Amino acid sequence: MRAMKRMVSYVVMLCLVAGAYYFLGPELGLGEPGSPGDGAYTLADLPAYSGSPYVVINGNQPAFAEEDRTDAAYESYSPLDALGRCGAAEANIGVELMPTEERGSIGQVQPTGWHTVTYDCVDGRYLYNRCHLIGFQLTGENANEENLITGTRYLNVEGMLPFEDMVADYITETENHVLYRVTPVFEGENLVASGVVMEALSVEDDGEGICFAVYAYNVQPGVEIDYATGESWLAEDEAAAA
Amino acid sequence: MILVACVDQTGGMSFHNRRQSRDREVVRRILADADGSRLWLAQRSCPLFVPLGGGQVQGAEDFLLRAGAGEYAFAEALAALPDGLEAVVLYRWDKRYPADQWFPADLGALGWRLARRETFPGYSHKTIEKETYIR
Repeated sequence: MRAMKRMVSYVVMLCLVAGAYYFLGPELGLGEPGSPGDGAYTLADLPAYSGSPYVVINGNQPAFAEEDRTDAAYESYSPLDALGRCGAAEANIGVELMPTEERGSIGQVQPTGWHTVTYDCVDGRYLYNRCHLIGFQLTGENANEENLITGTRYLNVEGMLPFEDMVADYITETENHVLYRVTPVFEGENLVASGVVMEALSVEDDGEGICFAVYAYNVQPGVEIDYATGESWLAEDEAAAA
Repeated sequence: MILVACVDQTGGMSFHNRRQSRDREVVRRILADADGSRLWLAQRSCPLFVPLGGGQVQGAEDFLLRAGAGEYAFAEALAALPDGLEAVVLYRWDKRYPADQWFPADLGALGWRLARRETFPGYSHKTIEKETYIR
């Protein structure tokens, strides 16, 4: 219940900030790249993809409230929106939340924009993965539709997995807690997210072990994506080389 | 000086001034190797070693300059390979972590020879490789 209240507060805060940004942003100088200051990001805040699977935002500072920095574990997922899209997923992860069983099937979940499509230029050939917002290895959430988006192989493996592994190994080693939030960023009514904001902060050592705020791009080198629908095609240079 | 460092699968060492990972089994092995000698490291690395009882641990910001012949130096950030190295020991994590600082040299290209590679289970890592390079 407490976690649900926190998530509702977060969504309300996100709406208020988005409204303030729209009406007052130019006057207040808001909208500096990657610096919303409270975890509410829009695509305009984020730098365009330039070859790296992720980029540091907001000076690498996550936006977690002081009162959330406790050793009480929780996990919270946003309800799907009217288009069926995921919102922010947040947790305070400790060893007590981490899975003790192998991951089960997630193939029954169809995130928005999902297509089963393969390309030779993609590692494993499948362009899209059912991409956990909070990785299974962190909270053991399996086929939770509020935690799965349509993500490219590149986002999943190059963008998100290194951060998930870093957090998981830190928690296993120290038994500390890590505040962790992943927020998909959708442009307009697109069904496929442009990317995800990942934030994390280790609690017991006040961020000495884990502290990051990054944006991971939902792109796939060599493939063009229509984010409105999830349709895709080979990029021109890849097609010419084929 | 025997230089010791931890790297991931891409040679990464740190991300935004934080170590990529840690494992108490690696710490235990470094302390065991340095037993009877001194282990030099930066002050920020001390909390890794002191709780495991390393009486030989010497923290100093200029630790790479202070480490003498036959002594160990554990580095979590390196701009370049220091002079006077007798050996380099790399502990390689079994993962690829975020990185913006990497181990600063291709040891093979600089004439170092991989003398020994050992694989062992860590506490929080399934497998860790220990590589020892000599001239």
